[in-house]
Amino acid sequence: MNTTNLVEILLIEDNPNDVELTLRALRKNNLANNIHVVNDGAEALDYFFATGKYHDRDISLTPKLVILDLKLPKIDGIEILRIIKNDARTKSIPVVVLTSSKEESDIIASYKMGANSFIVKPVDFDKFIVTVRELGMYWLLLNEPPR
Amino acid sequence: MVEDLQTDAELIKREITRSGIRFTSRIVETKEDYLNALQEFDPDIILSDFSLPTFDGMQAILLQQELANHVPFILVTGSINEETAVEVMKAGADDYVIKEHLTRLGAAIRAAIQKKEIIRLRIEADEKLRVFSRAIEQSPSSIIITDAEGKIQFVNAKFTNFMQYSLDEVKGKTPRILNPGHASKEEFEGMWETIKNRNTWHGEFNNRKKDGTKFWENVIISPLLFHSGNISNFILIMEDITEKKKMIDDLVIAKEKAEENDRLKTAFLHNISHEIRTPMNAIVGFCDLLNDPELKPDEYKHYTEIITQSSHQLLSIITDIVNLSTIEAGQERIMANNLNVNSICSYVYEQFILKVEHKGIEISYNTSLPDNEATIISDETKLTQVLTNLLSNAVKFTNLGSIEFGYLFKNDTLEFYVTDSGIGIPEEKHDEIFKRFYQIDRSENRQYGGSGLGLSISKTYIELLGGKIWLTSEAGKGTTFYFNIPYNRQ
Repeated sequence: MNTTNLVEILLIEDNPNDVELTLRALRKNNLANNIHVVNDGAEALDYFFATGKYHDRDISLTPKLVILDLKLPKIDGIEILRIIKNDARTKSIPVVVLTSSKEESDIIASYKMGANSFIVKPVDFDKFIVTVRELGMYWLLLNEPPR
Repeated sequence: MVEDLQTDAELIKREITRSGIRFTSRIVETKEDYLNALQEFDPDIILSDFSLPTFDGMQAILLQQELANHVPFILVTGSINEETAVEVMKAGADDYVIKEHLTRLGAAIRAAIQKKEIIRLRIEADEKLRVFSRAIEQSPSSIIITDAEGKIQFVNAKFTNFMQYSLDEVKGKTPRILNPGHASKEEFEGMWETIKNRNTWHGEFNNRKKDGTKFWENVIISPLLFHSGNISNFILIMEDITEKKKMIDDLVIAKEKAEENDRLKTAFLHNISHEIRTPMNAIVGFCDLLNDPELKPDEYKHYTEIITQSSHQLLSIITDIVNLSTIEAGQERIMANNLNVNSICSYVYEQFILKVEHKGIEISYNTSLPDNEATIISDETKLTQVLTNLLSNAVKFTNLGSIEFGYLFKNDTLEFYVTDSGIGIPEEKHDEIFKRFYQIDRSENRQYGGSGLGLSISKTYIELLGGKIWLTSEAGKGTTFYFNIPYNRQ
């Protein structure tokens, strides 16, 4: 994954199967050809704030959209949400929360922390597209169809 | 009035009236009338002549003593010899008045009535005192009475029986001897302040009997006051509430346990639903992809592999849940058969060598008995499952390094071990990890997954097989799980 170019979607997800399903579906719908994947909460924070292995990343180049799994190793999804929504550098990035449960407390907590939308796995792409449209992001993310 | 002479009776009545006493009277001559009058007329005083035609003063006093000794009795008679008078007085008469000196009668009546009244009051007071003292002595609560300085003067039977101290042993001491060092100084001072101010103190003490047995007492201390309002004594009423307190403590513990279980179950449901959904999502997601007509053969193979692996993962979680519910229902049984522990080790090794290859972990095993001595009677399925559980954990929590397992023959038991070079388990968690639904750290368990039931199930199985399970571990260096089973041969 090219980290120097503008990342359009940052996918924060630890389960490789879910990563694969999400990437495939995004590509299939011609959404975003520059997707960066991180596998745990600590790596996600390093990415956002250009620390650790991302220390030479240009911090001003924020992703257009974040897809965030709630159940993450090391640092929990809700905690990631709290941190980025409380930091001036990252708080304007739209976040779509991805989770395997419809656990009400998770949903409420996510919205409280400033999540823009919520999608339950397995990702329903019709719903995903509706979501990004509602966020006014659809045309921004839609790629030219490959020739 | 016991009198046979009308004129004497008249004289006596006139004399009483003269002395200023207002009264009604009945005059009797026979024993029968006398008895009736005692009952029906119920006199306040009996005046009796000594000799009558069919009756006499001696009989009258004896009957009075027997039937109405609360009624004063005065012998009113003509001159009699002193001996007779003494006899009657001895028999219980209050006074005697000679008819020649009737002027004394009024005063004699007053004195006799007053004397009887005093006696009556004293008897009443005595009786009251006896009831009070019985009440204290036989009270079902321990009672201490101290002087105004708080020194013990009296303890009741319940106290001596219960506390095992005799009155002599505690007399003159303060009740603090029952409470060596349990209650704080402040508590005692607060109590003393309260009762010194003539208020009742109420509280609980963790006291000690003579033999050292500790118990909880509910104590009420009240000051007893003189008429002047000064404190004469203190009374301590104490009730053993050890049982009650224990019941309350037990209830609190039970409640906490129930809440803890409830919390664990909720966490478990939350966790298990995540653990079930994760492979389910993969199965549903990749099955969908299989319908894509543009799929390349290697993609197809990759997807079916994911589906197969996720299905197995799901199956093992469901197996865990089913095993747990069988255990919870108390229906887990041992299916004892001949089995060869060397074969089991080799079988389990074969299962795991495939799983760890791609993780870069080395796995090896050791058996310490020759094959022909490695046959025992036990439950093959359960033994295999425990070894598999422990090895799965070892693989799960080891990213690089090695895993070794096997058994040693020790004191007629087979002691199995599974050693890994994984993340280790902190000492304080060594007991907890065997509890149901337990996984060390919520954020960490996400990294490693699993139902959180494996160790709990393994522990139950090993105990059913007559052994025990334990571990040694060093954080960051690795963990060794041990369990033993009896070396039962035919």
